[in-house]
Amino acid sequence: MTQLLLDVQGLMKRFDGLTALRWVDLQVHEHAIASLIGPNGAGKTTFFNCVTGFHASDDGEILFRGESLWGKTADRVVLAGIARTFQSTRLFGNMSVIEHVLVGMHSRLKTGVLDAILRTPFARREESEAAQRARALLEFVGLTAYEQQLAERLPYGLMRRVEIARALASEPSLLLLDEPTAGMNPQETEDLMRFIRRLRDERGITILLIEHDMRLVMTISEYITVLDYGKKIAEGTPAEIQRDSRVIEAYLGVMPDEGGEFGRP
Amino acid sequence: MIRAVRPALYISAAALLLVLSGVLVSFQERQVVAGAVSLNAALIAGLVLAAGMLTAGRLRVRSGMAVLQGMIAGVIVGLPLVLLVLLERLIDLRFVFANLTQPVGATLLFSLELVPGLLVFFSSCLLVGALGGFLSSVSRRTMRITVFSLAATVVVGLVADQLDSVIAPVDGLFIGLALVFGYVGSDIFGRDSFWMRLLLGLFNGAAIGFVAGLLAASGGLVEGGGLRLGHVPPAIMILVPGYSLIILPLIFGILGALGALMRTTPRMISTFVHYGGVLVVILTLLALRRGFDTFDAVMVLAISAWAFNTFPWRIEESVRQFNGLTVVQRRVVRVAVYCATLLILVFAPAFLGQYMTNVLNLVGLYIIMGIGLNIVVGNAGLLDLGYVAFFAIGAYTIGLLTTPSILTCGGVPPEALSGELVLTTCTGIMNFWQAWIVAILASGVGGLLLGTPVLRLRGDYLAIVTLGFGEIIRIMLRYDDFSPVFGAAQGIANIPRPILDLTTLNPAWYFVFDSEASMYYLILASILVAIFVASHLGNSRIGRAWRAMRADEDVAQAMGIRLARAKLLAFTIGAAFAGLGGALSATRLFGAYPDSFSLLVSINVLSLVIIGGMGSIPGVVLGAFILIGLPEVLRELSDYRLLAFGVLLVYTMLVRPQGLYPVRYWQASAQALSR
Repeated sequence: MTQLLLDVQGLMKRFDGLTALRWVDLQVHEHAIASLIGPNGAGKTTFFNCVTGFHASDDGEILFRGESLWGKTADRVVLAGIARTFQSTRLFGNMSVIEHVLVGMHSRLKTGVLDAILRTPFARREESEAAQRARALLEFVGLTAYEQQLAERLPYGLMRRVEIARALASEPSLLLLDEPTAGMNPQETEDLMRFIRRLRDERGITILLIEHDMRLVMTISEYITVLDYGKKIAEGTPAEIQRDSRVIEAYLGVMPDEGGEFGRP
Repeated sequence: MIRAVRPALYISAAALLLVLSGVLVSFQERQVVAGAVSLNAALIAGLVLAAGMLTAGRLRVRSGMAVLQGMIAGVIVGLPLVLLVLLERLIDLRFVFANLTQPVGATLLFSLELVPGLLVFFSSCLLVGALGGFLSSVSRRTMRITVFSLAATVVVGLVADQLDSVIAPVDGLFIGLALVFGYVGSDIFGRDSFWMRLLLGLFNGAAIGFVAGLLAASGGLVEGGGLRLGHVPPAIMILVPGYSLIILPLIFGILGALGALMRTTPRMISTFVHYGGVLVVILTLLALRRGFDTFDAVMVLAISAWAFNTFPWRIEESVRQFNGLTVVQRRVVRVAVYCATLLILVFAPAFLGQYMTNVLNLVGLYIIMGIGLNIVVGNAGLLDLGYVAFFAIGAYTIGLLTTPSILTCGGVPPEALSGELVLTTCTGIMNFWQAWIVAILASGVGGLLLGTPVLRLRGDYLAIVTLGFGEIIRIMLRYDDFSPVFGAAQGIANIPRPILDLTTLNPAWYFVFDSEASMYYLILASILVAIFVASHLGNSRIGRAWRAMRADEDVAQAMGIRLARAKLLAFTIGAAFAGLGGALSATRLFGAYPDSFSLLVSINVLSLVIIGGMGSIPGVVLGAFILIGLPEVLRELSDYRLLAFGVLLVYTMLVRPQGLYPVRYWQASAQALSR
């Protein structure tokens, strides 16, 4: 087994009496493609938000490469090497594609106020290097042709790619993808799956994704964690998960052969 | 049908409102065209025309029907006014509408008797409405040309008496000749060679300059000489010592080259130069004559119609040419344009005279504030309604540090000291330049202090808190208990003008900024610095962080942007700009008074940022000229400045939410990155 990259222990999150996450443990190994699945409202996105510092978790420990992320705000978490995308595309309405990537690089650039005002040689060099890297990244995700277009005017599939490029720009070692295929047609989903593999194989980025498309999850993931009502109900390889009775119950409500009504889809 | 006449109904309501609120009555004395058209007539005609155009334009009918539609619109606008005049005969409207200083009839009836007056008024409404309807049925282009030329004529007519002294005819003549010869002459040997074109322009201009030099040298400039056209002495040829036959050709040669370059410029410059050039021509022609009568009006109308007709494609052609240039050639164009702009700016006070320079200075101060607020609101998206507070901090810091005050006199109120003692006790008095730096820093710290507690607030809440902050500062400055420091309602008076003492470098270099023109240069330099700083920041990693934050705070944070830091930076830098402006304002007005830092200033600055285009620096400049400069020039309108602001803001929000000169950062960054 390779090294542990993300180690979440006993994560707890409450919203005014509603417990969104209940003692969740989750491990992601370096160089893995892992998935987090569960019915709607199971707490998957909350889990992402806690890990990336959007929410302050109430209890538990989040270790990234052995260092605690607990209490760190989102900007610090990025610096540590975790990047994320969002469930619904959240692009900057006033920016071009390449600017999105440059914003994504923010934490890796060092130009300060005085550098920027005086446009020092350092600032110039950093900016042109950043632009070069941004272009390279856009080529990697296949957005070169759209570099200078307003990101919000792109077709949906491309917008999602801009989001991924923006997240990649922060040079993460762990990338959290929140329902990357939502709203995509089968062909686009297929492309994305191949792309996620490339990310891991060519760039060595560890992936943790939330996904509803079971075919995608089962094909691509090496390890799956299942949440339901904020609790981890199962984990294991795709084959194990597919056989797990608790998972089937969570997805289909009460087991059909036991009679009773269907629960949540 | 109702849908079609809805614009006419709105306009009719607006016209009634204008009449009843007394606006129209007060415009009666103001002539647009001397002896022919008064401002109120122009206004009513404009409204009827608009009503006719909009009504017919909505239906998209044939021209005969369009004329009819326009006439209906004319009735809709005109009839209520006719009824109003009749009503006025029965009851005294002034009982309710106190602003009516004269009967409405007096302004609407062309000084005729009731019945013929009403007939003439009503039929003119029909006629103008029909014209509007007709215009909307002909091509859009014709309509645009007509409307724009009419509007241009009215505006020129309104400002004509103020601009009377702007440019000496001979200066205008020769500048115009050099530009036109450069522009036209550069085409003689084909359009392909950029350098050839430049050379030809240079040569043509120089020839004009040589002629001017000869004329000047042969005594054309003395009183009664051939070059003394009009009533203003030419500035350029007097500025050039000895009427040199070398310098004048050089100056005009550069102008000619510039004229040639105008065939190959990017859009913004091309637009500006083409229309600016026509403006020079019009002003020159007007300078030859006094007043603005029917002949002038027809002339301006004709020239502007020609300009609006041919310039669009000329500008397109120029942009096309520019896009075909090599990198070096483009750089030549850019540098030339920068130099020309700088030259115009430097020599502007010499042409504009005292009053206009004063107006420019005021506009300049608002530009500085606008650039600062633009960082806070336009870039970082933090709605600050108390921006004037930082302006006040800058002004009062200058006041306290450059006059005998409790700060500079070692804690003793200067009133307690007799004349002799002031000199010995008040040793802390700084010169302007030292105090300026302190003022900028103090405002910046003020921004930081305001920013810290409000970091978590968003949108409306932030606006309310900053609004309160602005008022707190103003009331604190007025407060009697603080009068030993801030002087309560009297403020701080006798703030000296800056003195630049460079006698150590050259015994002759001792400058006192005692005139409006000298303040102009100080303000101009400050604006250039402000633009430099703001544009560099805006197009950097920091500016991107601000814009990301404005678009989506959470995502911005998830990209590694530290929100607290980015916000405080925006607040601090924005406030520092206001402090810089406030300091200049205090020394310009020789004092700092609490009542000049009212909420209205904040609103003005915010409006010009919004109307110009959020985040756009050219937008700020444009906005400041329109919102601050125009009301100063159109003195009669300045009572209705707020009304016009309101209309303009509503219009902007509805029709052009991105502002008059919207920013396109994604294009700007593309340019910056492709270099």
